[in-house]
Amino acid sequence: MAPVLEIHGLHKTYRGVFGTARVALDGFDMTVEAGEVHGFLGPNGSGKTTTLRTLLGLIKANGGEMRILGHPVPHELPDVIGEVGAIVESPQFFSHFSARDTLSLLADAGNVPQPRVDEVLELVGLRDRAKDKVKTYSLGMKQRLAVASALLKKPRLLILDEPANGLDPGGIREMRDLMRGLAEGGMTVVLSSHILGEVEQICDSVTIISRGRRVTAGSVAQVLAAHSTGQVLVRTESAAELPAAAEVLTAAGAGVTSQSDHLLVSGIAKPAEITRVLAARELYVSELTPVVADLESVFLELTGTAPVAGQHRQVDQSVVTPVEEVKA
Amino acid sequence: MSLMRAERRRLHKRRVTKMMLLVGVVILGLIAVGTFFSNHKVDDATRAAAAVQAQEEFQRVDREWNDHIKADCENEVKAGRIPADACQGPRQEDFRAEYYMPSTFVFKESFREMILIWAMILGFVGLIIGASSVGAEWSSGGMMNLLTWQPRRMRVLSTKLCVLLGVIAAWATAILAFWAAAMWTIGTLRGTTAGMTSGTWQSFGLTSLRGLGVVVAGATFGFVLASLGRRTTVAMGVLIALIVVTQFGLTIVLYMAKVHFPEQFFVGVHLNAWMNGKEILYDQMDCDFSTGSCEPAKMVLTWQKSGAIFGGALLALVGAALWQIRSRDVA
Repeated sequence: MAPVLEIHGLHKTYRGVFGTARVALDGFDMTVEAGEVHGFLGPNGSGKTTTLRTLLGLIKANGGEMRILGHPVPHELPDVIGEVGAIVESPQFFSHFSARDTLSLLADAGNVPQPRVDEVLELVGLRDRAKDKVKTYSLGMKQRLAVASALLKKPRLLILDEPANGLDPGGIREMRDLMRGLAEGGMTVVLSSHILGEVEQICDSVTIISRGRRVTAGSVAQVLAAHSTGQVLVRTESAAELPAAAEVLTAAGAGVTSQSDHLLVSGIAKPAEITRVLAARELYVSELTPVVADLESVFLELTGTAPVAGQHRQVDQSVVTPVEEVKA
Repeated sequence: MSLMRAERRRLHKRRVTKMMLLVGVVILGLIAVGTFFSNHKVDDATRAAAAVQAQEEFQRVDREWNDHIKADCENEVKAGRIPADACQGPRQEDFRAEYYMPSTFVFKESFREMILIWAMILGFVGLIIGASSVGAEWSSGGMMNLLTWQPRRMRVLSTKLCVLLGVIAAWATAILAFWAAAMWTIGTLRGTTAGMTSGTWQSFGLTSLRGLGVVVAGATFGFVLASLGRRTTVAMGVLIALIVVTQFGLTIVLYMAKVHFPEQFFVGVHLNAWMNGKEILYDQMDCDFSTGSCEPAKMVLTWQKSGAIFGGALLALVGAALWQIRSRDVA
């Protein structure tokens, strides 16, 4: 099946009045397969929103190719826009309109039957506040309304920029369940977010962008595996036994890094080998945990945005590591 | 069609639309009430009373002349300080009965001015609604939302403009109908509606159509300015700047530069020409002395010429707004 979303070599340069230029996208690539929840990650100013806006025809690219559901965009965007629901950046609505009015007007503009308005209000949990003016809404409620507006068309591709922004913990979980449910129903979801824990839980695949270029892409599991060190954390019954354990493991050919209360062991094919080697010397393991990379650490490593003590990182201070496509 | 329906609904739901239409109606209502109470029905008794008052006033002034002024005047003539024919005294024809009658509303004479008032007020209302309808949508992010539903930008903007003009024209026409009815009622109760012919009605109809043109032009002007600036305040700012520049700056510069017919550069003069059919400008710096005195050069601004200037300028602005939405990023 053809990808739902394809971007190849996308370029965008913003030019100022006085000839100043800032490269926002520098040959960016991205592919999203049908039916998956795809995380789109990047530091502030890395080009995420520019990418989404370019995709939706709001910004003109300087180069590159984009396809949505097989249609080249922006040329054929009008033909496919009915199947794309999107919220870009923070939700913005007329504050004096009610949620129902807001959605009803959008439904009219997009030829969507009016009963669909009540369906999406129910879906995002705004049914009982539908008649209230948007100005009385909290940020989280506005976010729900934005998601409702994106769902109004029953899209095949749903693009959400920071949908969990402003949501309470319950709301975040509801949003997560909603997205999973939508994906299970066949909808493809592109999710731009800074809540990496959420992305890790919810997304099937990710693309990470830094300074306008893709720095990694692939399934979440594969991206994490590619960045895991293969180390195993080892604790013994007594911390006093750690030096002896380190000596034994080193003799067995493992790489050992000693910490105050544990060892980090690498170069051993199977963790069970560690138990066996130590037990043979009457050293008994109390904890044996593979050290797995999380998305946050991968993100910080690839984008070079990890905080450094005593330094104040500026918005555009990120790096572009060599592009890596993680394949199964 | 769906976008047109959505835009029509949206426009009517907006507070600014409701408020400005209400403001326009209230101002027109106050003018109608003021006109009603400042005019009175003139009947035969009123005319007779006015004739008596005119005669009494003539007699009073004549007495005053004969008792106190005439002698002094004749002395001045004898002394050669004033011309011999200077001591004429009051004349009966200067004390006409109509000068002493209360103000009365003559529909045939006054309704043209009332159409002008309606056009100016509704034109201003249209300008604010037009500017706000698109300006607020740009600044609130509503336009960006809409463009993710309807990516044909020029179609979106032109639909918005068409709906705005249709709605404003419909409201202005409805309000004009009430306005005409109110003036007719005032004419009936506080004046006269006599003398109306089919030609008069036709003339009022044409003036009303030109007035509707002013209303539509006002709405278009506000819409395109706010669209170009992507803010309602930009439209308001340009409007204020235009008033300041034309009313003060341009006046001073043109007179200092001794430009012939400087008034031809003022919007208000063209507006008068458009609404009244024509406007005659005189150039006091270009005199023809063949008759012995200064006969200033004349320039006639016809409503067609002024209309073409307004139309051309508005078309250029609409074109600029469409070109801009097509080519500029939405960020």
